[in-house]
Amino acid sequence: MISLVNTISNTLCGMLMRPFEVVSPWPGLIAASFIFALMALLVFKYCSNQAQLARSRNRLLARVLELQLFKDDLFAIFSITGRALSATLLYLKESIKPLLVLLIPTILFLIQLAGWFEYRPLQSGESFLLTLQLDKKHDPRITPLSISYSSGIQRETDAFVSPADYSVIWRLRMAKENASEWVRIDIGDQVFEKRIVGSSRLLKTAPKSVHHNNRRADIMNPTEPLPPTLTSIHSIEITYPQRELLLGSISIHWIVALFILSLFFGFILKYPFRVEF
Amino acid sequence: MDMRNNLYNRRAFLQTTGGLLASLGSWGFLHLGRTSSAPEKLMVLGLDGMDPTLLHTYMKQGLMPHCQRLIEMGSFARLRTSDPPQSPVAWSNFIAGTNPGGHGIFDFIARDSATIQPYLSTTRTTPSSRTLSIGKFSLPLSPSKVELLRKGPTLWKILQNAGIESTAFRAPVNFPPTETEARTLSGITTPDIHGSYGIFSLFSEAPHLKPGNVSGGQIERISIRDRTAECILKGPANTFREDIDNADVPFNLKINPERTIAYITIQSSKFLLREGEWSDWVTVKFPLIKYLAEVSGICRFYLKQTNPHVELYVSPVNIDPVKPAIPLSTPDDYAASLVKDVGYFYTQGFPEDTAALSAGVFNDDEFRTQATFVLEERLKFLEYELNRFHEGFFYFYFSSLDLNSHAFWRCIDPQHPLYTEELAREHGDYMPWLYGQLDQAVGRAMQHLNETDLLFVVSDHGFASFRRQFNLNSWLMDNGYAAPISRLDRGQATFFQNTDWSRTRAYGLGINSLYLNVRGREPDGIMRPGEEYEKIRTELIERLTAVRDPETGEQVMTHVYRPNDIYSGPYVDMAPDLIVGYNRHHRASWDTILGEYPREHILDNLDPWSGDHCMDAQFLSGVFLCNRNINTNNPALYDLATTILSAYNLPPPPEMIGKNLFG
Repeated sequence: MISLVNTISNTLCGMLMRPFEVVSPWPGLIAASFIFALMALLVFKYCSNQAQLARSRNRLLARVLELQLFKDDLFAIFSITGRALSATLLYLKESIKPLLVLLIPTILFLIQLAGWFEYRPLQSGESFLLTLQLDKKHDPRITPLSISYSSGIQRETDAFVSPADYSVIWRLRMAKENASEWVRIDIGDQVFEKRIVGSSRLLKTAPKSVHHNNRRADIMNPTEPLPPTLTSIHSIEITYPQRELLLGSISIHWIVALFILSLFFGFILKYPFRVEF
Repeated sequence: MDMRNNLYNRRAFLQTTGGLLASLGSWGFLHLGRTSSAPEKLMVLGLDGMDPTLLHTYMKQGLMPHCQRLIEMGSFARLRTSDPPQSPVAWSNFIAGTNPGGHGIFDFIARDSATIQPYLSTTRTTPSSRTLSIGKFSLPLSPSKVELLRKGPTLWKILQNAGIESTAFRAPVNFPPTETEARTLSGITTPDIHGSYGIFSLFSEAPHLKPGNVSGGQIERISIRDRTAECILKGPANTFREDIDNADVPFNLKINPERTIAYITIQSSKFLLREGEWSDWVTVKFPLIKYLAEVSGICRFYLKQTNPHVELYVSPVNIDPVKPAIPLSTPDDYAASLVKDVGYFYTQGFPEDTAALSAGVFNDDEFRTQATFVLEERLKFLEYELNRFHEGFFYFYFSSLDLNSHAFWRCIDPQHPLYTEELAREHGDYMPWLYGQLDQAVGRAMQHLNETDLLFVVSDHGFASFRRQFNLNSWLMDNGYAAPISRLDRGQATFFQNTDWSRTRAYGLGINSLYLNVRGREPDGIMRPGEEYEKIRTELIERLTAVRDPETGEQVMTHVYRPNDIYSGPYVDMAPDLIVGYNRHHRASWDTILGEYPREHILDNLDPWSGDHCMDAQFLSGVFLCNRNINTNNPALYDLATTILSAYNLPPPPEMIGKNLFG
């Protein structure tokens, strides 16, 4: 089930973001915010009592105006505050259903977008760590294990074996920017090839590949899952650098930017779509 | 000609001309000072510590062709330095265009006369005066203050205010930066995150290494169990806490079974290091109040060795230029923009870790590697700034010659007590190489200049071998000017803890500063101002200049100055009572600078810090190279500000005492 969900969300988001795989992340983020705003508006339109929602919102606004008008009357303020609270609760009650409907798609959408915006691809000359977490039944000291890699990758250190946490780590380097470099892990008679993304463009990265048995990790890392037969490996992780999103000289987290842009598009689109929220 | 036509034509002419003049006037207003004779670009390369003798030696050897060409185009002169010739003092002379009496910086170290406590002379931190105690926390209700103590005018500020676009990269004695619209990045005297000039950390498994504080660093013993060691990176003092504990950050070090690689995890950063490898810059957040307040720093890790014992060096934690706790630049985001465009960089004022060398934590090769990294980083930024420098004033500072001359003079002076043939063979090439590298930087700068542009290459002082160290405080004690509380503890206490102030008339604090214990000024002063004060000063001048080195027979101090003899300006009263000018090869000892009284008066300097310039200024002129002829062969550092302003036809402010070298 999770695999199916991941496959669908990978495909849909891949299609959405493909035209925006350019150097700047902003076009892609703006497009994603637009789609998200649209999705949210449609959910609100069809999953809420729009008339009741509008009424409770207007009541709340009216209470706020009353507070402004009667700000010198202490008793009135207490009374209005109580009524504003009940208007708020009513508004929330009307909003809860569409919000609940939106919850899971939002989470899946954010997880997908993290692939583009949380980390960035490696650039030429950058070092990174490849961490192999073995299953607890396999001692990394004695498990036959080796890596090979494409021509655009160079190995900088030997394997660092950490028996205490069943991990093996290498330091590698991206020698040239290429979206389709790879590292191949040979473990016993099993093989897994992990894609390493090198580029200055907005491309999707998959920092962690996990074993399908780990549900939570599987949802959080939807791309490049480990095949079910690869039981000796628990996860494979690449340390991609964090993506920095700059607005002028100000650094802004991509989720904050997404939220602000989505609100903006929501307010613009509510009129043509006639949606109340 | 018809009069009306004349009138019309005159009116039209006046209107047209008036309009033209008005527009020229507004253009002129925007470009005040930039007349047709002013250079489009005026560049100053500040090469701290470039010595004229070495410069000429290396030019003769063909190692410095660009400096040679610059001199042939214009001029070379030995540049009179400051009294004393210490970098914060000298560069303040350059920036303010005056002597220490005009800018208030007299030594690296100043003292609070009310408590005799020393402090770094260029910056003062005043904690919040009102706090609110909540449990173990102490929340400030008013802001604390960090102030730059350099007074007087600031060259780039004057230029910027006059409409000359100005940049001062790693501007010395400029922390926190003077408020200005010029682009400035703080340089020397910028502290690390602890507020010091740099405290390194060494984490070592070696059983023979004594843990604790050393000068400029701290040594921590670690023990590796199951190939893992839990370490603590000491953070700044947490002033949000009542107990002002350190805001430390734990980190984990794992070593592989073969002991060839270490895996280090600190907060969200993880990296592998092979023996002998340096990490990239690592950002560390030191928590002050969990989730609410933190201080960001950057540092580099160096895996010194893994066998037989693991030793991990961590550089001083520098103030993070992206999120500085105290501004490092003007405008505020300039430092962060440099990180974005070029990468992280040392923000501490003295990045070459001579403290680690002196403590024996770095050997010569390791220090050389770290110093070369600093130079390469600086050259990268020079390239970046040169590429966007199109007009105006540009100052760029290099620390490499100064700090490496301090460290490696013993490799080029056969008479230094630490000199050996082997040392000269191994590292005697480094100084000429560095001079060659800086010469290439000069060449790069010259490529960006047109014929009418100006280039100054300036050093604040020269260098001399530091062979013998003088315990000034010990001499004062043994000659009746100071007294200990306990003679048995002599040499054990620091910061004058063993000083009997009721019987002490004079004390040395700082490298070249000598103070009298004056009644009404010092807390336990015994010297009466006036006649007694002057008598003792005169006596000290005579007696100190008569001191001879028993080994060499040389005079130890060639001059001892009264401040009024060498300074002028509104801050002369802040000066020490006497300024000591040591003879070549002699300097204040490491112990005497902060109030210790060892038994010997004079002894060999056996510290790798073997070159110095805190001696009599007459021996330590810096260099001045220019692509234009100057009208004097005896320029001074404080002349340069006046000269630069005059190049833009700007009148120097009255505080500036220098003359125009092109006048």
